[in-house]
Amino acid sequence: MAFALEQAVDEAALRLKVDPIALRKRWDPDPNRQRLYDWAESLDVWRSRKQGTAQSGRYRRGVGVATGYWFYFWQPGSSIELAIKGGRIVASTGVQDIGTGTRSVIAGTVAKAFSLEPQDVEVRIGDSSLPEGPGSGGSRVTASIVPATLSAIAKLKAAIEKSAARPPLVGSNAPWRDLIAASPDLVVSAERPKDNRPGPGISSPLKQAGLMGMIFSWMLRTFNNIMVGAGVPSSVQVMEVEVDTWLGHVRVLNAYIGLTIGKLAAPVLARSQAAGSVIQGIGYALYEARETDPSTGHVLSGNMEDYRIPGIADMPRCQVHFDEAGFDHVPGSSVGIGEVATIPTSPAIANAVCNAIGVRLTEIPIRPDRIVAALKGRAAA
Amino acid sequence: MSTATVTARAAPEFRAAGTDLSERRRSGVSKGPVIDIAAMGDASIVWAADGAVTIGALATIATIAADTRIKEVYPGVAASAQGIATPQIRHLATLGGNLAQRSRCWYFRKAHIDCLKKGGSNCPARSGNHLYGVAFDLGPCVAPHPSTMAAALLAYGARIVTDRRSGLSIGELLGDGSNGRADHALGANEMIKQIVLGAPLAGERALYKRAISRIYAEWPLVELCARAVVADGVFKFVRLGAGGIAPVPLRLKAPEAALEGQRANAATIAEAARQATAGAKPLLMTGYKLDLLSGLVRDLLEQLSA
Repeated sequence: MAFALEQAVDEAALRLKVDPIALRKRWDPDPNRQRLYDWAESLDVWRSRKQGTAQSGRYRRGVGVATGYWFYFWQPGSSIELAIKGGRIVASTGVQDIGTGTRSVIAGTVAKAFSLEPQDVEVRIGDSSLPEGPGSGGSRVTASIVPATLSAIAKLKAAIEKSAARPPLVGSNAPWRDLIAASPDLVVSAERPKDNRPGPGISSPLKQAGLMGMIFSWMLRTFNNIMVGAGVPSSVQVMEVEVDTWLGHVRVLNAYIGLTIGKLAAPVLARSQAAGSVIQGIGYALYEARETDPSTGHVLSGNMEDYRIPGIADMPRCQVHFDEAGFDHVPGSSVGIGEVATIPTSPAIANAVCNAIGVRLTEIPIRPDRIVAALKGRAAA
Repeated sequence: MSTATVTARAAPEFRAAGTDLSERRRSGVSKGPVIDIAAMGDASIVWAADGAVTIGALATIATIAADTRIKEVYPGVAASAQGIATPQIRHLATLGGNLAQRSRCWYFRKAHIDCLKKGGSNCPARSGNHLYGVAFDLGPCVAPHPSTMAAALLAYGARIVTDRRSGLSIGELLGDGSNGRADHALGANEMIKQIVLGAPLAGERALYKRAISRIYAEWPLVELCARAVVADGVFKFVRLGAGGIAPVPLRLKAPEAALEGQRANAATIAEAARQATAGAKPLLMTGYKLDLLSGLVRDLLEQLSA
């Protein structure tokens, strides 16, 4: 849907002869996206963008922008157990790591609180006999598990101090390490607490959607055990593409990825996940197609050779900008990345293609057959 | 037709590296007996005194792509080899196997869908989804021939030696595209043994390129191997071998004729690019391939005349 909607906004800006970012700034009240628009506008690639000038020649470059948002979801009841076992911290929760770094988020959060290294914390996940954790889906894991972990950390600290035979040595540069090593075995657990009151102007997008939003919110809470929190995780992306008009080839040269998803629970992984989301968005925009037989409906592209995803050579240079404000009402201030970072990629690429060749592609993937057809003004295959 | 009939009729298949066959065995498209030839074949590259070369059918694609003398003498062959698939596939796959591989057609590759190449009575892609089908509709099957090396060898006028015959042209090896049931015109159990390339012309250059949606690792939508001798600002000699557009690789004779003897300039090349699609008969979904073909002709000839 973002692919269509964000192209419509771009087209409106084009027809109104207004800068597409300026147009969005005018009508989009969301504080998170307003800050990202300021960032995007300041990019050199955006400032030097050519608008409305018909390019000629074989290779044509274009720059496009798009925005997207996702919900700040969290799962009530998400719990974590922190224990000291044999002088070592063990964190246990029935969550799983689908490759996005849940283990590292938990280990990092605990380690930071005790001035330890992440490898000093043993994380046990992926077992439903452990305390109930959030499901992996909808970008809810970090926002569910980090606040619970912070509550458990406070309890564990109190328990360690209470049971300590003697205080850490005066002048110790690792007081918690010493206390943990000397501590008897302990177990505490904590459940995901409620959020604090959000700042002015920060609310859930479902609240903004009136009655329908309230019903949807109630359904998510009742049937899916998902809370929709205040604040809108947002992304603004600027893509620079080059189109080979002879061979219909589109290459994304540079990706500028602006994100407001609160404070980073694991900065290295956050950058990696943001880039990964954009890679997925590039696949969606340029390569991925579920081809079927028109009469039988047989899926014809049901394998990794015929269903194409980006390769390493297809990757642009990725510059990720995190604006860490906007979620201070969330304990830990961190919300999910995955969905929000992939949403604006495909329309930003399509808008960049339009900027390059002067034709708007309304179908994805933007393959060579569609580019050459668009340049001829002929119906695509 | 039932699976049992397919099995009963299936002739034994040769397995060289198995990069194509393994997939068809797993999917159930290939069920007959397999004859392993990997250990018994010829992978040598032997140069004759006049500069011609004989390449064993089991020479790997990676070997051909990396061979310094092939790169120098037959740059179009080396570049074509380099353009194929992925490093892992090139490392294993053989030249003979590349020529004798089966169609990449979606319908052919599905065990439960009948098609001409599996003994069926019609081509389901023709009335179905033939996005990657031919743009020169020369026979009942609409799948383009998958061999990149065949298009290059066609441009070089290579000859094929089998265990029964020698001196076969690419046209004699693969047929004219009118037999939709086969991917090549070899007899039952006939095996490709060697590929012979004649001595190059003085001053010839060659290039290869495929039009695809990604940068690498994709079956060509259209591919072109172009050889040319440009002297005194004139195209003295041009050979264009194109793949991805017809049931067999095609020599583009119209643009060759439009180029030979003409000034190597933009106007000549534009005319050749226009003529590249002479005789084309695109399907409903494959008209775009003609644009890509013209684009490739223009691209490679501009580079060759630069």
